Amino acid sequence: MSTNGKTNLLTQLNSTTLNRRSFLKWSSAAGATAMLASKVDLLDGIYPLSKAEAQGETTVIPTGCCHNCGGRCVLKAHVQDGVIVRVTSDTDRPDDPMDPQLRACVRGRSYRRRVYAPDRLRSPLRRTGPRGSGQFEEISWEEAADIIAENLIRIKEEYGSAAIYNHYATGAGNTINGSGVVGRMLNLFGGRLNYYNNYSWACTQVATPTVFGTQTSGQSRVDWLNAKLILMWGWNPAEMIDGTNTMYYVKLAREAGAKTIVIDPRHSMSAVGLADEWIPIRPGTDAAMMAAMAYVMINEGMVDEDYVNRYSLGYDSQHMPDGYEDAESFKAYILGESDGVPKTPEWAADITGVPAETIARIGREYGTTKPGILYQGYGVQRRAYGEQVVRMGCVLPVLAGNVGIPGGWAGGIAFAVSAESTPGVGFPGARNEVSYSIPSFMFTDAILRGNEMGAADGVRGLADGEETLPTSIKFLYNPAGNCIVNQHGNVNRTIEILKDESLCEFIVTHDNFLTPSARYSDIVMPACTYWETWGVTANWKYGPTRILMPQVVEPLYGTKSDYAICAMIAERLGIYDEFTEGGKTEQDWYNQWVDQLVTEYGDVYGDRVTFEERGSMTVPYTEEPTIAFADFIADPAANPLGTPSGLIEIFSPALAEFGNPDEVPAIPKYIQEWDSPFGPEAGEYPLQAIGSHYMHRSHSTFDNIDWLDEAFPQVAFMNNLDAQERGIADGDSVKIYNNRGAMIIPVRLTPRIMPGVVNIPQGAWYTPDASGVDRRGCVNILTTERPSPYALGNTQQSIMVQVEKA
Amino acid sequence: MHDRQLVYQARQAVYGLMQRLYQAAPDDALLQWLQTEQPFIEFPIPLDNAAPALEQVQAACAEASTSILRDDFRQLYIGPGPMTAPPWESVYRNEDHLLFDAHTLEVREFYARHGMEFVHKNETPEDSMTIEMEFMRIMTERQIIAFENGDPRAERILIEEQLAFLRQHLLAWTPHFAKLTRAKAHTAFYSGLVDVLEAFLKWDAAVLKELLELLPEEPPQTG
Repeated sequence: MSTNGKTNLLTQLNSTTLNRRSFLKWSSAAGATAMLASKVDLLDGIYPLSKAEAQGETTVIPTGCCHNCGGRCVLKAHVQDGVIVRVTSDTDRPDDPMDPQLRACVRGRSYRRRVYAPDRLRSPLRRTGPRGSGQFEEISWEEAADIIAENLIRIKEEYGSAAIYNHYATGAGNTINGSGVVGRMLNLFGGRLNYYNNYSWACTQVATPTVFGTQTSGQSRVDWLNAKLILMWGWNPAEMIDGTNTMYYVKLAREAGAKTIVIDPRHSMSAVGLADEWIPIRPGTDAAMMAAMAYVMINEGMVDEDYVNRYSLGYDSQHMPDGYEDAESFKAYILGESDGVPKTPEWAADITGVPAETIARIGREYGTTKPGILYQGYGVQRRAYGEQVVRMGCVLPVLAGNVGIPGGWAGGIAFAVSAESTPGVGFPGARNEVSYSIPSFMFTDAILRGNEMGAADGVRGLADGEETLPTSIKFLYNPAGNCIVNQHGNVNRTIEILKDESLCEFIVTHDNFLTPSARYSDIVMPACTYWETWGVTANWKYGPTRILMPQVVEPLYGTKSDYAICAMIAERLGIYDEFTEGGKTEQDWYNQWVDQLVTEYGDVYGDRVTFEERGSMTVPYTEEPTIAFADFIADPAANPLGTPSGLIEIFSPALAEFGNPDEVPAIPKYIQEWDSPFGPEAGEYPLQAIGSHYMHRSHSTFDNIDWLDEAFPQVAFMNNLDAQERGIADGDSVKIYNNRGAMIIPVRLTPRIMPGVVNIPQGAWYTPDASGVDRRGCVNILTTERPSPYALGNTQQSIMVQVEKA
Repeated sequence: MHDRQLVYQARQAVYGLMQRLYQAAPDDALLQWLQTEQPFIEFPIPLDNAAPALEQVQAACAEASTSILRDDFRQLYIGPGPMTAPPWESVYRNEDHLLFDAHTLEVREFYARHGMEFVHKNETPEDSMTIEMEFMRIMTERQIIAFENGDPRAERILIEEQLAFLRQHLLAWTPHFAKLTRAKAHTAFYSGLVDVLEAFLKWDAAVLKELLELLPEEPPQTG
């Protein structure tokens, strides 16, 4: 060190330059709050802390990932000194078809990024600007709970409990968090307007029972190993995760000899990883291809008609339901006897874009390869006439003789019989004193004109002589949900409705982040993530599993579980003791539930210590899975179905009586959609758009996770041919628009999507610019709020758009 | 010759003020204090490079209202929702840009070495700007005590440790934090303040380095 520079700065400093007069009084005046506390008695100099002591031991806590993809997976949090330093999954035990690993995908494995994201909500917020402005101020927990309780009490007094509505929400899927907890609180407070249907399955949940009398029309995944052919129809378990490890069972089925064919407008990850063949098909035309397959099967003598007629009604004119002897049979429709249009492969080729010879070949393969599975994905039924593809997809298995046999598949929503179901654990029920229920997809209508909505709008639970709901929705509760704005059809319409404070007077959201839905809320409660509290989660559609979710780390920033938030509100509503059963904490409930599982399932996974060490349990599949409808096929008279006739209803008298034969025919038909490439709307908006499930997200959850955005960027996927016509190059910014709205996002050109179709993966967070153009790529800026005609389900996959270089 | 104690007191005052200004937007009392005491005009340390910034901040105090400053503080540092310049070291230092990351634990360990622990440990990260300022302020306070006790060895250790903390932590992330703040601040107050902060930290590191040369080396360890 040179002597010269040694005291350069210091020599400048003296009592003049240092301005002593001013700074001596600073510390007290600034009034800072001290936040570093002495941990130990101070030693002179440095407190000698060994490296090991500083870092602490790392403990591994098994927990789970339970948003609303189709998986519920095991994650393991590696925790050091109260901080999650690493996340792994269920990999330290052997995989086994009878007790598979519950391995998480990239979404779950990025969980640390949710917990420790800088943009977590930290404080309760009160809106200070117009709804949607994003202007909020921090308020105390007490004040926020007071405001919510005051509004619940006020609106209940003024409009009645039916004005309070807790919308479908799936952002937090364990026992302590999410929509169910709020529902329970509101039920104890006198009830709330209920909903039925959801954004996933509305058409298939309603349409499957019209054929089979039940939604339990499927069986354990291990039975797929008995199949020789699997048609994966719009089915993409690799990305949407249709049950944890469903891909594993498809792989095992292929190893056991099954051929797999993916029928999908997209060359999806499932087409890449699980399929022997990919057949691109125009969206919304699946029922036409199925009809032509039926044509081939009937025409080429592959259908055992005696068999079909023994088990079903409406296949041919000799086997129609009583009172409908002269109505159109399925066979007459397929052969064109009733409408003069035989549903030939050539007919379907023009509609579907699939070559006629391919359709005929697939028809033959499905008609002759027994046993075989026609597995319907769910995107095909989130469409204008989603009921039809579901019903058609349930009829083909009947024609092929695939119902009730090992390796077969009856179709429809296909919840699995027997072994898949395990008794749940959760809060004791709380009866909802409000009888009314609306289709979930009609909630914006129930805000706008609920007091005019009756049975024709799908309202259930009206008393005799009661025409309509007594009130519109005035209080909208949105716990861990993004459906009140982002995930509902037609965002621009939705936000116009929500902006009007004279319609819905109060909106509450609980969330970890300031989602587009939270932005439209009057009060936002900052929920902790479920890793910061206690809970248990269960399998989604498949896999009889329970995953324990003990607390991994303390709640950050003083955030609270949805349960704890509700307990604060319940206290102010005078229902604290009922809600908490005398003050139980999250951990009290957790202990109660684990003990219950141990008591009921001790033989499966041993004592509590063993269970908690493993962190999850799966009731092992039986070697011989129970087959849906096997008893019915063995003896239909002794084991009738739940349909009115007790038989498979290819022709449904209930649908005939519905009285809208063009849109809701009694036999399944292909119906041209209201937003179709064949309609007048195609002039201005010639491209079909779809919103696929994307590895980036579970619906809209994880959209703000940067890792996932890097790996799976939000872009529009477009075929090179469509791009060439429009002078669009890969990576260009494109404007995608229709009469409902517009977005500007980058485009990815790919041959992995059918020409004429643009995919905008669903779930991106609506981010409007000053002119209302979405800059993030929320597909619902383009979708409709119009429900399907019978199920009144969402139709958000039927979209026509134009795309141009931005 | 300089007065070491005076230097320490000046540093303590600045770190104390910075701790408060990065903890929350000024309330009425603080804004009034800033307007009447004019701390950025009467700044205890001659930050020649930052003279315009000091003037800018002081001028901004005169024009500012608590609500305007609060709004800017929100969008810059607390949200809700994504913020412009997250005020935590780990966001800038770790490739994951998360909170509670490796550097948070390093900072935690640094505090622990000096017998300190964040009162909100594991509830909110301790590598925030305000807490790192507080750490430096407390270390300076100890320096003053060591000086008063006539314990140059302790003074030296404290200076070495502060210099290490500045180099390993504050100076490593403040430039990134300052760049984001400057680019997106809506008020002259916060865009100027971060310039003052940066200049002060650089000055402090240089001064501490010079102080080290004035103080005796630590005697050799015995035993």
